[in-house]
Amino acid sequence: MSVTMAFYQRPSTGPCAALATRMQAVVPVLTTARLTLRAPMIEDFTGFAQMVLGPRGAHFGAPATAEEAWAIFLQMTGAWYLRGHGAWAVTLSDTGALLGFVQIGAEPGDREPELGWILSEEAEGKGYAREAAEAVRAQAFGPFALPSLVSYVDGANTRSLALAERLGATRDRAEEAALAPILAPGESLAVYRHHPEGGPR
Amino acid sequence: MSTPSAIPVLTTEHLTLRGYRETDFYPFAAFAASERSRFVGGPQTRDEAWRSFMAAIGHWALRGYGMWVVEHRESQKVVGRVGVILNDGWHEPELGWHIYDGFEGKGYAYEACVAARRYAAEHYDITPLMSYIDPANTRSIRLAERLGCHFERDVEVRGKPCQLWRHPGVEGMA
Repeated sequence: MSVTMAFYQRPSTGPCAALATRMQAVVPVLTTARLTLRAPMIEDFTGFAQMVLGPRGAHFGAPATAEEAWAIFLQMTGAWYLRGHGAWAVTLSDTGALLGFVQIGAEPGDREPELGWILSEEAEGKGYAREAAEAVRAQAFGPFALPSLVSYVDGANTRSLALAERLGATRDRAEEAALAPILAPGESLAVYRHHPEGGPR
Repeated sequence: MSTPSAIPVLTTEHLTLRGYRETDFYPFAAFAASERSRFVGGPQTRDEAWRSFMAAIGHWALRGYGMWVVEHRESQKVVGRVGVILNDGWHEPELGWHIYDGFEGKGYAYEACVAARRYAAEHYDITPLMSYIDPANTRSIRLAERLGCHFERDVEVRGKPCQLWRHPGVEGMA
C-alpha cells in the first residue's frame, strides 16, 4: 500500500534543507555494534507519533494527540540548542530503519537531565534500547560532562524498570520522596540514578 | 549554543530579526500567558510555554526555516516573533506574527513581515505564502490587508475554523 505523505511531513529542499543540515550537525552521531544514533529529521515524525501515542510514550511527555506529539518532537529537537543535549533517532546501521528514540531530556519540572528511551513495538526485545541507552549515557558522562543523569520510570512500566536495572542504575529513594508530593493520586514513580560505568561507584 | 549563528539575521529600519537566546523566553512566556495569545494557541502555562519555546527552535532545525525573534534595535527590547511555520496539520507554510503587549500599533509587525516574506521568497523559494487568521482577529485582518493579502478561503486547522489569507507573489510585495 502506498501512502501519500502530507505536505507537512515532507522534508525541506534546497537552502532550507541546507540550513537544517547545518543545525543538525550540532547533534553528535553515535554508533554502537548494531545502531546509529543521529539527529531527528522531519521524516521521523510519523514513526515517532506512532510510538509515543500509546502506553509506551511515558519518557516522551505521554502525548494524547498527534498535535501534542508534534510539539514534543519539535521540543526534543530544539532542546539541543538551549541545553546542549536532546534527542537522537535510533536507527539500525545496516538498513537505516528507524527503531526508536533516546533522549537526554529537559522537561519542565525535571530537576536534572533525564535519560529516556522509546522503541517501536517491533524493535523491542532485541536489546536495542539498552545498546542505545548505554551509548547515550557514555556521551552524557563523557563528552557532555553532565554532573548527573536520572531516569524517571513509571512504577507500572515493568519493561523500563528492568532496563534501568540492567543499565546498572540505582534507585534514588530520597529523590523519590522529594518528588512524591507532585505526583497524581495513584501514580508511582521510580527515580533511577545512572552511573558513568554502569554500576554505582 | 549555535542557534543564533545558524539562523539568518535580517535587518530592517527599526528591527533585527534573529535566532533565539535563552533570555528571550521571558517575554515569550509573558505573551503566551496573556489573553492576547488566544489567537495563536494560548493562553499557556509557563511549562507549556517552555515546550513551545524549544519547539520554535526545533522547527528551524527540522525545516531550515521558522519564526525569528524580533528585536527593536534601539531599545534592544524583544517586541515579538515573525516567520514561517509549517506545523503538523498545516496545509502549507504560513507566515505568522505575534507582537507582544505594549509594542502594537507601531508598525513593527508590518515591517518584520515584509522582511520575513521577502527573505522566504528570495532565499527559500517559499512563495506565495499564506497566513491563517482567526475571523475574530480584526487587528490581524487589517495587517493582512495592509500587506497586500487577499482572503482566499475558509479552512479548518486542527478542528478550528479560520480564514486563509494569501500573500502576493514577489512582484506584488511591498
